[in-house]
Amino acid sequence: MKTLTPFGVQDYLPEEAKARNELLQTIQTIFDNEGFQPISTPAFEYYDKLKTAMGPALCDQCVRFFDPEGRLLVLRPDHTTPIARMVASRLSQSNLPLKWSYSDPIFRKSASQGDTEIFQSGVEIIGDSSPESDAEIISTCIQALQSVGLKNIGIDIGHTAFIDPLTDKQKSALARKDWVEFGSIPERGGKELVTNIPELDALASQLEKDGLSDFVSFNKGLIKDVDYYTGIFFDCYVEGYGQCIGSGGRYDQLISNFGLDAPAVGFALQVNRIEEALRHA
Amino acid sequence: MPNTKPIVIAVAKGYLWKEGLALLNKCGITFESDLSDSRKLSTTDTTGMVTLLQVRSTDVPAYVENGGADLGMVGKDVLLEQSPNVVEILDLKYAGCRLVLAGTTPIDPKSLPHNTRVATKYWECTKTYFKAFGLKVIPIKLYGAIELAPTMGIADIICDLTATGTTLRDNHLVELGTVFESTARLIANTVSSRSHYDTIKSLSDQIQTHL
Repeated sequence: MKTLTPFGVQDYLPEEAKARNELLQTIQTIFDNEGFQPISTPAFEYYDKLKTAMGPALCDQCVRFFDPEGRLLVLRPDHTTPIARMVASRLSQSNLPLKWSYSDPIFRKSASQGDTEIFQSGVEIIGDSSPESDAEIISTCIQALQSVGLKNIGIDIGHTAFIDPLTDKQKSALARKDWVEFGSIPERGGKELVTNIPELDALASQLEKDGLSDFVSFNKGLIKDVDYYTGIFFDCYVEGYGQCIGSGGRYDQLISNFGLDAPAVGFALQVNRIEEALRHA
Repeated sequence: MPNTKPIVIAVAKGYLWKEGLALLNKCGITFESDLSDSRKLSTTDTTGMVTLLQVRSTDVPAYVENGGADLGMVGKDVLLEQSPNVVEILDLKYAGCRLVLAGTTPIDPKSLPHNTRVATKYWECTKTYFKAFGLKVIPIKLYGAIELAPTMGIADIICDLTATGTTLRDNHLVELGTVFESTARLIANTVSSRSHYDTIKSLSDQIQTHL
């Protein structure tokens, strides 16, 4: 009789593990070249220490269990929250800015056909609030996606300034991707959409200077299912593959939950989906 | 990102297919075949810009969600029942109908007893409806001829679509309440809603002028 695994995880046989490692190495090389230092956070932490920072949406999706003493633990629910905890508990203002990279799994309660163990590689810039650091994150993201051989990639950039003026009803409609209830097709385009938001205008100019304008669009209808973003947030996709393969954004208030005031921006690539997108290409 | 491949639209067969095709024709998108006299399940327009897939209405969300089609034309009822991860672009206004509760005798649905047996194709919507006022009901999942169920004694009431109410009346059923109203929708794959944004926006604008 075969021994089964729980739903939401998978094995990697030698050939699959080899391909996976090569993919991770390719991405890591980009991160290294851009000056990001690899770090790693624990696979699980105390739930009550992370829960305020995680926010209700992420709390709903995380995987919790008890340790032998009956304390509630959470399997790494994302990278950003544990990294915020790590920065605040281990370091101080004098260590900033930091450029860190990671490559580890996160764990989410699986939706009907989703993974529970989701492998992510990503980076964070901590202690820099400039639009240039936003641009650096987006540029690193594009380079990483190109390095693994994906063609026709795109990044849609949203911003809290687009979302904040909306009513709760409109926000809820956008979160459900119901443009009928929202009342119109949300605007999406280039630099012309962001001339009245100085930091986005600066970001657009920087991306133009870096020759990356063709990859990015500003999207006024983009909304995220995590609560901690304070500025830009974005999704990456590849044409012809139906799901987003990475996402990120700016979270200037998150680290202060743990006692250190530090702005930050980062992104995570969904390695499982990148593998799938490469197979579809 | 420039696009040269045709945009793929999954359309529910039957009534929605005819209406959908008529709407696209009005927008100047014409097809050599409407697939009515062949066993083919897809057709491309005369300019090679649009490919239509003819699929079951309940399968439209699966094609769109998984990227087999960029767009879909399907009833809101199917979207409410399946909650697929797709973008709802436009209310196409046609194929209007309601999901209603019906039984052999008039009664306020809120006054029904626990463990009422409900025959339906729309189990998720039925559950959500009764859950809102804390009533536990027993599902009788049927795929057609729902109206027979109370007469034959396998269900107490039904929850089914009606456009005119004729079928209900013919089977001696009275309406007890409306769960939701539905019309056809234009939906899009999440990634296509970005990679084909301009095409989808102009198609949607064009369609809107003919509604």
